[in-house]
Amino acid sequence: MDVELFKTLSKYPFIINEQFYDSLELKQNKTCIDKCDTKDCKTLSLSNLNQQEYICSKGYNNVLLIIGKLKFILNGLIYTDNSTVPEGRKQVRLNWIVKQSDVVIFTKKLLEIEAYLNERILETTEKNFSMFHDFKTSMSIFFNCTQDIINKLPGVSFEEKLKNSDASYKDLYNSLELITSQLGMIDVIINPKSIEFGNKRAINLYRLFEKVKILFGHIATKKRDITINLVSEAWIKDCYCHESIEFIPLILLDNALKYSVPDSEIEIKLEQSYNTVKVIVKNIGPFVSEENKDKIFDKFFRDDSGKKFSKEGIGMGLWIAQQILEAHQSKLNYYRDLNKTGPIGLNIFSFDLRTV
Amino acid sequence: MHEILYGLIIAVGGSLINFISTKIYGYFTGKSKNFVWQNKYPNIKSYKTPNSFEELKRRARIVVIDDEDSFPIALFRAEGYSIDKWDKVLDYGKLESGYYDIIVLDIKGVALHISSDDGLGVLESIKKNNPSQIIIAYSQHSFDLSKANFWELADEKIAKPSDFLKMKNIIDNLINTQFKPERYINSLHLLLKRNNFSELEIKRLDNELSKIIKRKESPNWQKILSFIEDKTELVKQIIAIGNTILKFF
Repeated sequence: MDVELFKTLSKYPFIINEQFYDSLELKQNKTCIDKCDTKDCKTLSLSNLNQQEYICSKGYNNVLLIIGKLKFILNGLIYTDNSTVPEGRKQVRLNWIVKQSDVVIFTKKLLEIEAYLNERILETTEKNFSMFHDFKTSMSIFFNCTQDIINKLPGVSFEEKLKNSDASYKDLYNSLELITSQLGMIDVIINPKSIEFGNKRAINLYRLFEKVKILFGHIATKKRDITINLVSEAWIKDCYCHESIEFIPLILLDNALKYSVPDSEIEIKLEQSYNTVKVIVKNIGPFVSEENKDKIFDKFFRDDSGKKFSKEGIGMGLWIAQQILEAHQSKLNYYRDLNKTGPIGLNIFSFDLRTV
Repeated sequence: MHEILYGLIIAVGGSLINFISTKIYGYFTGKSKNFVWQNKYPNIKSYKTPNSFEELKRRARIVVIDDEDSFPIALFRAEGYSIDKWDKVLDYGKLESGYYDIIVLDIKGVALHISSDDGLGVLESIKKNNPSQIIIAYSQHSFDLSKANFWELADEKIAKPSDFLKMKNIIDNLINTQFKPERYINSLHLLLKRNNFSELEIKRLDNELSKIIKRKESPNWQKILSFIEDKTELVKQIIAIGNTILKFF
């Protein structure tokens, strides 16, 4: 439930994020807005006890309502049994006199609406994405057939057979991996918790980027004559990560490719310092406007410069990358070449991860 | 003649005192001592177990429970894994008793005949009875918000579809890090401590297991666990972990 919906539904004025709001039926109590300096009713938001009552310094009744992640305070009310507000004041605040039982029923209704909405969201999400079930099943068949073909090649183990196989076999196998990774990203969009599913294990970021570089190699050359350059000055140690970290190179390279000018170079640099690996992805492309440089990590957000440059994308990649890195106590940063004044120039994405 | 008789009486009496002393010592410390006061059975953790990955891989029994044929069983078998495939839960007893070391479990269409929660119900039940059982969640439903428990309870996840090398990497990592006797022994100790058993009782159980390993006998669980009264669930859990430990030797 968000503020707008709450405003529509609420019979009583309320406070959220320290801001006072009128409801459609009842405005804010004038005492709360004009005559109260302490506004101590706001302290109720420190509590985590749903439906906690509080009588403020002016004698009014306030009640905390926790719905999802939001804390609403129904404020400035006078319960019929309230004896702390002077009688004279009550006479001029007749509209704010309410039965406590009505407030309780109202809060219960809101909690039920919230539960109902959550249930429907779950249902809709499942329905919308159940189509991927069939797609994933087809992909499984595709995988099995490909693996069977590779397994018939000479070699002792499957890994050896793949390693010794023709480039086209490797490309086929790698492409399937790419599709499954992209399918995995859909899971993250719907259920960000899936980022942390499974155990953490030692993963080498350099090898991940190397793999994705090969996967994107074809597209990069064919599309806009872009070259991908992967460099590291020293041996990169393993990081202790969830499997979802594999999406990071995919997202950053896909992003860089999407927003690179023709005949340019994407540089991926990995630097190992004491117990941290720093990853820097540079490309030449449209700048993100200064006011949106933090918003590009929001869900479904695309900067206008990006939209003009490329029609591809829905603004989810960087959000997913940020969620994954946050789950690994890291953060993705965006920098642009501040010396350049035109719309195109050097864009840099970077993050750090602790190594084993 | 008398000297010989006295000598015999002293020898027998001394032996008897020594025997009773070892028994009393054993009762209070949980350790078995022989006639010359050396440990009869080594500490359970000191036994040599297979260390090489190839040996562990060969020993680890894996079962894949999936109503589809997406798991590359043939490829795993070709690489020396001991792996079974069930389209649905065929023998819950085997899963619960620790017969399989790694269970690869799908979430849907595998256990509706025994649980209304399907794969999730099976996973919850196995983890409740044998928390050290290694379970891999294998499904294409990781987007499913209502099934979050399935993924959180499992030790590892394999998204469906996944390529063979990724699956192999996940299973190999589990064999390398989790499929170790020490892990199961620690898990058994933790279970007993949580149920308020004393250090002495834990040592006694270790000693019994050590005895079975040394003598290469089958465990008589009823006798071994006779010190536990009226805790059917706990007994089941101990037997499941105990059987898994004994499989290593």
